[in-house]
Amino acid sequence: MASPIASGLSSSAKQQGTSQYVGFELAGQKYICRIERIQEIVIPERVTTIPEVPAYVAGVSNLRGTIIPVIDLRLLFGLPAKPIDADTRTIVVNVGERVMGCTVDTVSQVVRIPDERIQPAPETVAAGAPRYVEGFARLGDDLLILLDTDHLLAPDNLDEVHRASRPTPPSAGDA
Amino acid sequence: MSDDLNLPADLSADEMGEYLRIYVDETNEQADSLVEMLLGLERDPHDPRRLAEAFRLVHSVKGSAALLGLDRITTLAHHLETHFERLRSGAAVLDPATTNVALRFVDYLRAGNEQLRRGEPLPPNEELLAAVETLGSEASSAAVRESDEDRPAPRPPVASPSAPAPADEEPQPTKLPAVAEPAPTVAVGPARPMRVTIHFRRGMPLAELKGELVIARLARLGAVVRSDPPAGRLATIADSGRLDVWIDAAADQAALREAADVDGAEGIEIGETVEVGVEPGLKEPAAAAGGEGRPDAQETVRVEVGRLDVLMNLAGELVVNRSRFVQVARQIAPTFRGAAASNRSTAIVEDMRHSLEACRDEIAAGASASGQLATLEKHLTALEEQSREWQEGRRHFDHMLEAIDQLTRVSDNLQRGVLKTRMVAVAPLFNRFKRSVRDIARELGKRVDLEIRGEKTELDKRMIDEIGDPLVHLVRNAIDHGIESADERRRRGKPETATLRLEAFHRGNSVCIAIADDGGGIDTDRIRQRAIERGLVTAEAAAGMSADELVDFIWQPGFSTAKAVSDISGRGVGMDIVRTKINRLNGSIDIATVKGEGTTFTIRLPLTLAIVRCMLFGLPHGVFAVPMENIRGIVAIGDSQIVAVNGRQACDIRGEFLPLVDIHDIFRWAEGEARLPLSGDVAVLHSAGRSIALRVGAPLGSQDIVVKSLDDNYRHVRGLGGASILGDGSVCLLLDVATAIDLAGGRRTRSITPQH
Repeated sequence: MASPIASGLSSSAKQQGTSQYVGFELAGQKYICRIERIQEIVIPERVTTIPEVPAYVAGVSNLRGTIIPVIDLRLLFGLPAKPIDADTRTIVVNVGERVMGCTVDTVSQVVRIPDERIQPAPETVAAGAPRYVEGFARLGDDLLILLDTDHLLAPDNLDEVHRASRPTPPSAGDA
Repeated sequence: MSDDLNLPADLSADEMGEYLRIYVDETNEQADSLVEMLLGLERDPHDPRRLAEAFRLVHSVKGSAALLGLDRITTLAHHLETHFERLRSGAAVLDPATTNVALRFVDYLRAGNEQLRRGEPLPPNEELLAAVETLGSEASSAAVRESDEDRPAPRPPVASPSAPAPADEEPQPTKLPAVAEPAPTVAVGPARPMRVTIHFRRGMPLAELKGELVIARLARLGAVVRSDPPAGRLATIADSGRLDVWIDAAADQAALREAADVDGAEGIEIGETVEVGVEPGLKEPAAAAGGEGRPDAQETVRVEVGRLDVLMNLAGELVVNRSRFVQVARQIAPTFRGAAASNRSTAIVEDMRHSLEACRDEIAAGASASGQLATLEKHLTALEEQSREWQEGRRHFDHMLEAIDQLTRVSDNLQRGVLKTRMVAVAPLFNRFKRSVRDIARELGKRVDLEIRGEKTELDKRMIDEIGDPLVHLVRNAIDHGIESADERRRRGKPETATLRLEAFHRGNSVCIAIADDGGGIDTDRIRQRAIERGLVTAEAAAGMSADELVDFIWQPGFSTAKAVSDISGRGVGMDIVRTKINRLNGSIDIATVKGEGTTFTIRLPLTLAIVRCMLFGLPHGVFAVPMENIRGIVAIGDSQIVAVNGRQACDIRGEFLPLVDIHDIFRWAEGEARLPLSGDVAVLHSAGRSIALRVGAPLGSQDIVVKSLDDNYRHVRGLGGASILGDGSVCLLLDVATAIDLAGGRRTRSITPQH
């Protein structure tokens, strides 16, 4: 699967000031996050739903003997749900001491991006949204959003992220 | 100089054993380090770091030994320390003779530890003492060197020939540990009591114990009249830095001074005094405990609890893996086990063989189908081969089952073994209360005897650490609110001194800790009044409530038992916190109270935090595990047993009406409600005297589950005690029944109020 993200970058990758990122997609939008934060990427295991949690928490899953929560990033970002298919992946992220899973539509290869290509999030975007958007990068036709997973997935921030990322005002009858 | 264990009089045999064990472990470690330092100094006698470290080690051995009254060691260490101080300051240079003596000291220390471990007195050490005492003086140093000539300089510390007691030496009589001999009343004459004032470093660790030590040592020289702070309050020395002891003694000041000079004492004053106030009961030569010998200090290794946790988890994983094996084997079983299967294939082979023969006979007469026949024959052979392999496989399968049985045994034993390493007796925990009960009672002007039972009962170390706070609270509560004043008790015709019982015992697969007082019981009328005042219940409803229901209010957050039950204001955590803490340990707490006779709180705890025996149930959202001890039974109910009142359902189970709830009455699920069919099985769950009937799917059997926390990677979910991994690798949730019952009540109430 030659991802458009991966291609076109490998040539300029070896210079100094280049970082590695894992790219993934949600409803057609491409995101990246820092590779140091990623523990592994797995095909979704059986997820057990748990009560008293918002819908974006898909449940908990067994990662080789450790029980990790699995966050459905689509629902967290207020996007419509999508059934699991062959491309669906769970990214296992280290958030401080915690290990958490994030379900995304698909994961592309690791990309190297020179640091100067990463632009900080514009004020207008940063003002409304919590600080989980660390910056943007343009690669060819693609606009990549760089996520700060530490901030995004801190359990105390999840609700705020969810509220802030709802595309429409919360009138759409979501109980 | 007595060389037995002269422990502070107040220590119980258990505490003693504990200190002794710690002493032996610690000084053995220190002996190792000291040898290492000495060997390093051998190469470079001026190394300031090693000199300082060696000095520190000797000093710290001295301190530990003094604490236990091991005078022989203390004296040796004292002289050695003095000499090392000279070496450290550069006043003297380490010579091989000193190294030798120091190593002999290490040998003696180790040999002594062996003796102590066996419960025997320290061996005599005159020769070594002489050698140590003369260290530093030139002449003696030479003498020592001479006498040590035959010993090759620093040598690995094996038991020194000088250390163990020579056989011809008169054995020391083994004295009981706790007797702080009140000296054979020497002071006959009109000797005025002497006041010995010891100044300690403030904030000194173990201040209480050191104070007791001083008093015990002084008691050997004469009759201790009183002390300030008094015997029960010695812990305050840590703050005041001062201890005064009045003693009737014929002994001279030097002897008193020596006796009072324990590690940590910074100054000692001795003077005559005119004030004499005899405090009765100070001189209790504490429980000489009959003929009980000195508690053995068994050989121990100190291990970080964290490492045991890891082992525990691994053992748990192994058990899960094993159950996975069992499950897989069960699935394969029909293939091999059904003898029918392999028999049938054998039969087919035979049938084919027959028809083949018949075929051949027929053809023999006529044409040639020989090619086809050959093929048929080949296939037949292959099938026979297959059948043999199958039987072979079946044999192997049987072997595998045996191996799984073996694995089961081993993993169960391993798990039990690991569990056992974490189990410690509750005695030290309980013993802590001897002092605090006395202090609290005094503070409140009450008389309370503490009765401790079942202190040998063992509990997971983690659990013991966690249960301390709730226990302190309950004990304080019992003395504060439960037990009446002496006047009140007299009026009621009870003994003035109340009894508080702290008891541990096993019940089934759990350990119970009971805190029982013989006080006034919980005043339910006051609770009713208070509950109405606080708007927790209407006056009409309260009037109809049973005593048990009323008592339940004390678990309400912020429901001050102090104001409800007595007039003394409460302090510290509330009862709701006590219960929450116990629930988080997968435990439960019950109250039994009889007005005028007393109250008993019974805490029930699983043997360990890590493993819980559970019944598994299928629920709409997945498999739930419910601790066995919360299950009263599983009952099939029909529509006729269900009544609906006011939007709530109740069901009649053997004449008892219980709230009928399903999992949605307890939890909210993001995915909406997938109701189970109305009738079916219910599990009758109970905790702290309350029960509910929970609709469940068919029970999936019971098993030990390894509890994992949800908080580690996410957060705590109220009503869940954690999660676990099942044999098939999926995650099941553990129901925290006590909280679930709370939630069921709450949610049902909420759902009938219109504000939702």
